[in-house]
Amino acid sequence: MLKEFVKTPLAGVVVGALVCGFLTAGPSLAVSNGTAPVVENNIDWSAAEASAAATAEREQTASEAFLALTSSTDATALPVMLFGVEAGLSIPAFVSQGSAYAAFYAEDGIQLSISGSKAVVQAPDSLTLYREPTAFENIGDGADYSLQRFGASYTLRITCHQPTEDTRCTQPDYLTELAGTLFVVEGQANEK
Amino acid sequence: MRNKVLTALAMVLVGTVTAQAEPRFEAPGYLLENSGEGVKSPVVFFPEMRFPIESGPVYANSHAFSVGGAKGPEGDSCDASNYSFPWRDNFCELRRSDQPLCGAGGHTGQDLRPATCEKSVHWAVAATDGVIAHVGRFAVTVQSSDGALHRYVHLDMDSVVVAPMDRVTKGDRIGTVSNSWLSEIPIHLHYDIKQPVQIGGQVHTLFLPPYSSLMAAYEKMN
Repeated sequence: MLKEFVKTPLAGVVVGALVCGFLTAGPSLAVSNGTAPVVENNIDWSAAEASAAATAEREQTASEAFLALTSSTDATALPVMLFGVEAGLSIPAFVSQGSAYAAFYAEDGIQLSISGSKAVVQAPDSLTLYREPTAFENIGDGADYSLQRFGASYTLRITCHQPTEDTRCTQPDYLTELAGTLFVVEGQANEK
Repeated sequence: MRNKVLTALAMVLVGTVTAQAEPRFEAPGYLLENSGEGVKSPVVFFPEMRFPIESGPVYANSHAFSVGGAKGPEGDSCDASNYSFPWRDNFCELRRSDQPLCGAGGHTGQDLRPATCEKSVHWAVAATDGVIAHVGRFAVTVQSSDGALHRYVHLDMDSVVVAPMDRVTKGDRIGTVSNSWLSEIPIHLHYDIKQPVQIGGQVHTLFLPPYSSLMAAYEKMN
């Protein structure tokens, strides 16, 4: 039957359409199933414990207030870092997801959060680093400040009521200073 | 009878070709001409994610370089061309120039227009199980259990039904898609995802290309 079909005028239409279709399809793509593995980094608990001990006295009040939160008892598989007393912030809301945690501070005209995680995406060859990442990054409605400590990754995020005017969002100084106050909560520097 | 069979066969083939000629998705990294240099990676970084808008159709394209956009042809941002397939990647689009993964440009995510050009109607939903890590004036961030930060920008914040530290599961409503910003912009959801990534032995926390993951999630939703 195929041989007969090839001889018909319809066959020309079909072949023409096939050629046209492939030519005009351009870079369109079916959904790929290639993925990038995500692995959990090893945590340097000794370094975290040493850091917590070094700041324990200075941050005692903040640590005790945090540890009084019910949510602080949830197991967290990375050191919990919070803003220290020098930041002048209130005790944050906190939630743990085991291998990640989030802390949130609502302050006058700004919102601040700390997102900690021990998971890391393994980049495929198709990703290229065109420029060296910076710790501070404007994100439109605010800014991020990213750092790695003890094998974990932490992202400080700030948003402002006036994100294009408030220098706490537009300039790196404020987040950089806050990052400098980060401390490991004593009692949270060991794997539960 | 034989002619009818041959005609039917021809119709099926032509239909297939027509469908190929009108794809729903342009390939990852193929940005609009002169709008930047995209990341031509088909890798689905977030294979488990749910599509971040509750229901379709949804149109992925640039709100800035399309009709009615700040850098696009003059016209109404509700123009039918903005609400049509195929999708178009706009990660790395020329809004800024400091994104480490962008050869040129630096848009941190993907613009998504909901089914109709109406604000405060279409729901943005959790793309992942996780917690609400941040709520600002214009945006909500969901942290997944592996630390990825999924950000939803330009929501109608009066519609937001979540609060910081709430736990969410995939598909939970977050807020409606709008155009909240300091100035008038087209109705769309800016969606981006940031996560630590190891490149060349170093770990950096970066905005990752979301387009392929969004394509896969959209295919699953439909």
